[in-house]
Amino acid sequence: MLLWSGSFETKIDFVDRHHKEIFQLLNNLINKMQQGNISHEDIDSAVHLLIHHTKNNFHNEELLMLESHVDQRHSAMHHMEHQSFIYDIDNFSEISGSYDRRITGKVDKLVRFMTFWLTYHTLGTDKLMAAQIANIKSGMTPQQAYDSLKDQKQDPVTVKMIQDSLLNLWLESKERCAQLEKKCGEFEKNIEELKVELQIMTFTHHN
Amino acid sequence: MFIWSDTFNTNIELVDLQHKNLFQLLNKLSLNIKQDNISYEDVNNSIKLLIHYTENHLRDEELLMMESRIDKRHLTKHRMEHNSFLYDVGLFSDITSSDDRRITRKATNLVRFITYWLIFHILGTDMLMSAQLTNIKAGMSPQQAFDMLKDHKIDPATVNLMLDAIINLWLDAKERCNQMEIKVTELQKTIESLQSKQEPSTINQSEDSALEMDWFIK
Ligand SMILES: [Fe+2]
Ligand SMILES: [Fe+2]
Repeated sequence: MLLWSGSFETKIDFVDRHHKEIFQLLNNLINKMQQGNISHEDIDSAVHLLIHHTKNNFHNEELLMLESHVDQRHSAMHHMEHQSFIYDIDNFSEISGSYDRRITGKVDKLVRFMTFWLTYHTLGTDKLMAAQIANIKSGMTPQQAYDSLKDQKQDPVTVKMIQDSLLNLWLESKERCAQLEKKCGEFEKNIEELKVELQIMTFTHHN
Repeated sequence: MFIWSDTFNTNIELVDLQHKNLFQLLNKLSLNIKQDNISYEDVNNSIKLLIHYTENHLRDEELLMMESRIDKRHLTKHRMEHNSFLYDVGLFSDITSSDDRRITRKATNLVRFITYWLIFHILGTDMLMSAQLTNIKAGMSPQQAFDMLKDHKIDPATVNLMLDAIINLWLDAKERCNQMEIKVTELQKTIESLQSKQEPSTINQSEDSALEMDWFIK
């Protein structure tokens, strides 16, 4: 569950509204997953809706940064984070193509990934964006707004939340690496066996 | 290349000295790898030294915490982080058994991993340890010293350095996942092509048995 709290507020109306919606959609998906008798179509459409809204939010944020003339150093980095998320999410896209029972496992991973990622990105990057826009509105140049934030103090609770989300993202990746490595090992063994079988076959064939 | 700065000072003499030495070993190794005429034995020895020294350092820290009777809640978590690190480093261990040319790439990955991990761990967990040890020395009970951490503020530059290190650990793991995925797909193709080589005869066999069955039924 990804619970909304004041720490997530960017104080930009439509951004906060969108973030709340996304959190809600994610929680809906989690609830659906916890019910046993959920249909594949239901999960599929919930996943699509969630991803659609998230991508939409990125688009709106990037427009806002352009309109507010946010410093390029930030907007480029922010854009890259969004892109990298979309890339990672698309790796989960096989979900909608697989009608088998493993779908629950896959959606579970997607949900975990999105929970950690949204926590880290909203608390870190989005709030950094919001703070700059506020500073620009109050008369700073975009450069000044960017530089003034480099030394901005963050409260320890928020830092801890960001840190834990990043550590979890890292852990999940490490786990996936370990699984892939196991699969590689199995496949390599499989290939060895097949090669031996082929050799025996050609041997008996020639005789 | 890692450059030491006061940000990394825990103000515990032994710990700081060992951290500095560790970074020096890491820097030396990464310079060594970049040279063309580096021998396999050289890289191998430096890696072994580095890992050995790191293990020693983690053990020293744990001893220090026990001697100072640091709060169990911290000790458990701190130890877990050390152990998880040693487990991950163990996964690189095939470096020392592979005497091929790929050792440079593997050593580079190991150096990156240890460097990022040290930055994240020193700036996060070791600093919390040092804050508690200072307070215990000043007369606080270990429990009090632990509970004080709630209000322990870290300056923004340190926070950014630490978070960036975790992001890099994450990105490197993702990159490794991607490479493994490519390898899995390639292996899968190999399996399929090997199976298709087997198939013609399997088909013949089943045709044969089908004919036999036909004959049997008649
Ligand atoms: Fe964003
Ligand atoms: Fe430590």
